[in-house]
Amino acid sequence: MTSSATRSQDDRITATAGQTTAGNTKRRHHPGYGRWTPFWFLAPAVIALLMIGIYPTLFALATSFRRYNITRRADLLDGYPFVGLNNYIGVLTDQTFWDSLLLTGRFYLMVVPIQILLGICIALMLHRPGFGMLRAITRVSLVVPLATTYAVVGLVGRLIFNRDFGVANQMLGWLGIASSDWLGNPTGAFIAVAVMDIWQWTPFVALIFLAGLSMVPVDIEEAARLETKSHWALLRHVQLPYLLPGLTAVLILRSADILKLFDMVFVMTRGGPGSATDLVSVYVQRVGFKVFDLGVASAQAILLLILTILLSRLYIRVFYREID
Amino acid sequence: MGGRSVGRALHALGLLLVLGFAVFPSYWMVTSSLKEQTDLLASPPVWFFRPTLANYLDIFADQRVTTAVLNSMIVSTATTVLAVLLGTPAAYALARFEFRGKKDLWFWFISNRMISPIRSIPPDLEQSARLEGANQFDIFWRIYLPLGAPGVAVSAIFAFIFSWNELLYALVLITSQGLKTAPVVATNFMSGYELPWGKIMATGTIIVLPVTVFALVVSRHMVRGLTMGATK
Repeated sequence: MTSSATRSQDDRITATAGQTTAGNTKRRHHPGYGRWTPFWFLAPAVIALLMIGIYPTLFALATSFRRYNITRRADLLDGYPFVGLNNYIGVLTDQTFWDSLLLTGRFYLMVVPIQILLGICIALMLHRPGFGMLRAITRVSLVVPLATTYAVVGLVGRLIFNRDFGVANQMLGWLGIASSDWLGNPTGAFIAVAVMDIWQWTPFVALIFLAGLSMVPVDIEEAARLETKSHWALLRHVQLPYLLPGLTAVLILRSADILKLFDMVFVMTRGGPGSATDLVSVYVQRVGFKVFDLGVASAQAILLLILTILLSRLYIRVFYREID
Repeated sequence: MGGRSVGRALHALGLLLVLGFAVFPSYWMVTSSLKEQTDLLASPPVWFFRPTLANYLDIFADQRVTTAVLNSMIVSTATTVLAVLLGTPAAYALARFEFRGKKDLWFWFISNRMISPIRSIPPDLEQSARLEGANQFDIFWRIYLPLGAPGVAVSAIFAFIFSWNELLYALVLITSQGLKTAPVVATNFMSGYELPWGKIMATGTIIVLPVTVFALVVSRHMVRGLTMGATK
């Protein structure tokens, strides 16, 4: 909408500007810059991304078709032999891989709805008039979890959820709930990791929704407030449409983040106890750098990459419709 | 009338709850870093205690920690400079030019976050500069970069925070002890039987403090930057 407006404006001005910049006017409807100009501005970034993004991916792709365990001497002596799709078949028939993928999905389904619900509540509270000072401080405080180093979140989580001297047990005690060894049992560890993720990322979701709420034109919101006293009706009929693009963004970004979620979980539980918090990124890291089977780890990484691309393609399709 | 004041009280209570929720873990980390070991291991945990700086003196005497913080500084600064140098021209191109394949490139770039501020600069400026004979690079350098500075600053800070907070690559790729970054060293404390919680929390505080201050200072822009990157 806006881009087409500026574009036609560009075109109009180009008619006069084109005369002074000779050489740019050969093509009809040319918007005032050389054909290769965008290229020169983009080239450095694209080349850098190719080097740091595409090269390792190609390396991983090549490795995924080889027997490539760097601790097995035979593999080295054989020159890391080509094994076709063996690694992929291995991964796809590896129950642990599927379990970790399933666990990651469960983690997403547990954490993201809570973050969205809390995020909307927080955004509504921050948007509502009154208590200007307190609202400003609260909004600024949301930045704190976002800026916290993920690994440090894991360290703090281990202290807070400690069985003996953790403050989580103390607070639950105030509510009359018996204390437990959070990180020592599978359910507890899963919940503890989820709580830390909810702490860190709910503010992000809230800020996105807050931006959405502030996009509602003031006069429309005022008129609606005169019409109805119900906050729910206001949210449902006036504000919700402005929250939808943000919601899509949250779904995309959080699914990519959770597929990559490593630092916090690694520090807090190392995937344990047992495999209770063995999210897929933790598992892949272990196969690659504890078992040193780079062939299998590469195959896993490639499969995850494909999954991420498929997911984001799906989201982008929805997403672009929202914007246009 | 009564309903309204109940509503206001709930609003204030809710805001206070959110505030507490947002800062509590950080508060707990900082206070723990000021505790002696006996206070740290008290069960149930103590909220009031005699603060000590002993943990900080310990970690600053520990060369592993100081070196790691320095390494993190170097890595993050270099990353940020590189990201801005490469990202700003690309953001300019994406914001101002039309070309084939643009949509595909769009999602590649974190410099997304800069595009909206650049968009908000009126294109007339560019046109009049061109009439005065400025070339494309002049236009970018003299007009867009200064006017887009807030957006660039926000993106630079994002780049810094992301790079500073990064653990996985550093953990996997760096093997030499002297080159380890701060998150890696903090993680390394988590082994052994009796964990030195005071030192761990002091290191955590030292790691988190610079980026938090950074982020708080620009929080108004940060909200904008975050959401623009996400919803555009």
